[in-house]
Amino acid sequence: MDQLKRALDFCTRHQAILNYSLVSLLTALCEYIFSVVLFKCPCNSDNALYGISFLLVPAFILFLLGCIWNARMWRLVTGCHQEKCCSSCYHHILIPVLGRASVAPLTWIAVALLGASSYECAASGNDIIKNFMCKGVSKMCQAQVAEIPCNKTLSEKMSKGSLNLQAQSQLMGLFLILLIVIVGVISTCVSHCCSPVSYMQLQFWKMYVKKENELFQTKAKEHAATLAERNINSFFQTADQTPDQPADPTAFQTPSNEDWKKISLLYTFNPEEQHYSMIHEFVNTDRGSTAKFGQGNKNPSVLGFVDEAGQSESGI
Amino acid sequence: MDGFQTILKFFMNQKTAIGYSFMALLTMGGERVFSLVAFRCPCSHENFRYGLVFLFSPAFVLLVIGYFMNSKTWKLFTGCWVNPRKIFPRGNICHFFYVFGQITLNALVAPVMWLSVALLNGTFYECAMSGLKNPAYLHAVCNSKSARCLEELHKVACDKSSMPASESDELKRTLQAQSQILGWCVIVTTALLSLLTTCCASCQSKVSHLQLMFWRVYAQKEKEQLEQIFQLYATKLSERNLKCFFENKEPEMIPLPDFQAWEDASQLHSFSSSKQHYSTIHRLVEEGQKEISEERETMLDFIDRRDIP
Repeated sequence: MDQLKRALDFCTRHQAILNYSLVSLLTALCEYIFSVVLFKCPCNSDNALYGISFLLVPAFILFLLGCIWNARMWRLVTGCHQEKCCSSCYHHILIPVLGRASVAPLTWIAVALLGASSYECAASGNDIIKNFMCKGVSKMCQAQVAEIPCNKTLSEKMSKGSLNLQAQSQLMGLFLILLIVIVGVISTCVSHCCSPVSYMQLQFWKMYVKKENELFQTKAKEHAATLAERNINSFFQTADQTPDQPADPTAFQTPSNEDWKKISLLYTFNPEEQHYSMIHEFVNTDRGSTAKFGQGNKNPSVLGFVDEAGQSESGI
Repeated sequence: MDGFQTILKFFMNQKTAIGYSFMALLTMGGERVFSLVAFRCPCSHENFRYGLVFLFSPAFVLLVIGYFMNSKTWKLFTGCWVNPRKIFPRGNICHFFYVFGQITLNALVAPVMWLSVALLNGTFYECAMSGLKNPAYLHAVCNSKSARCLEELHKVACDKSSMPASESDELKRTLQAQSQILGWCVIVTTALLSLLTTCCASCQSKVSHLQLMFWRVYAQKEKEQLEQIFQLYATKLSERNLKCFFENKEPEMIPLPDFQAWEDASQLHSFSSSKQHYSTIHRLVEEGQKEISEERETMLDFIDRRDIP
């Protein structure tokens, strides 16, 4: 039991990288199934369009899904028509959100390139590749290039000792993976290096944000249940009485619209105060009424997890 | 039941060995899948580049993942731009390189496993070296073979050369044999180096064997209790905040460490032989939060790189 608990703790601590690995594995599996079951290169003048759509369209759909699935995106977007949106927030928040949403599409593209069928099909319809492969050869060559994906022996004859299309595709896929890894490392190191907060405090902070989110779900359900019960009981009791003398509903303390707006603001870090979330700041500044509320003006990228806490309750 | 408990206890005691064996099995499985599904030797003059990229890029990715998964990396780098003195403390400039070296050695385990498994399998090396244009190497491999060997070696991996089948087979077996010998050399070198470094570290240790064992146990227990206390305070604080938000109650005081206390607790621990402190928190509690000068680290951290958080 103890060891199982330790294994679970390990998983919780490295949850981010485990999540990304799981997403990558699932995407890789889906791409493999797609290319084996669905992909059939037409081997004519439509090669380029077919290959590129199989490569890029699912990636774009995954990107959109990644954006929709991000709770921080909804915090940024909700109500921004009425409120004055923080224009500088867009740089600090949109870029990390878009970065996270690009994990699945880039994995799709990398795995598709490693599989080589999409690129081979697209490249065999591309004029630049056709001209390169058909330098100094008869005019029939250009038509033959389009048939390479359907005829394996043709590929060897036409590649003239340089890398064939499949090998080119696989090398591009590997370089893309290396690029993603290097960019990921640099951005994570930079965001941690520039962190205004120490390592242990960050660990505690992550735990606090997670707990607050879980308790928020529970408390919100309880509060909603109590309020709904009061309303419905009041309604049915009113029905018993005469229309001239409705029963007064019992007083019920619920946060106001202003209170909800205050806690839905995007989190900004204030080095002078030690607030771990907008709810914490709201409570410590006498329900947001003192001048200290909302005084934070920094958006360190390492604290992005504070707004992403409501991952399961995104805008859908 | 008793026998089962004994067996379970035995496995729990060997969890490091089991962990590494599991990692080795995963690497072997991954390498097989990768070489069967993805790897297709082009059998052209680009073999060398293709083979090397396939051999080394997964190793690089595994190295990076190794760095990521080590919590010491983040302890070292968090906040280093804001306060560079944290990683280059006065009078102890080498501290950063020492710790980074430790982290690197830990992270090198997975890539070295990948390289040894890939070399023992032979596919990547065979493809890469059949495309090597070095005349000395070509003459060594094509020794006593037909003249076509020098021109058509790169086609041997796909069985597409015009040489007789026996010659082609022999060349393939030679390349595979070279690959496997290189793989064994990598394994033996790594094992010898690990043994040497562990012995050196133990030799230079200023602390006795049993105290070292106690230190490991203490570090593990402190880590577990820290997690429990974090959970407890996180729950208390969030319950208070949510109650105040929904029910408009006055918030009661919950004492938490301030910024500076967290900063001090996050410093990497360096053992000082004049004091007997087993962790940064231990030192802070016994000595308060004043900065004390420390001796140069002993090699203790080096031995316990896997176990000390």
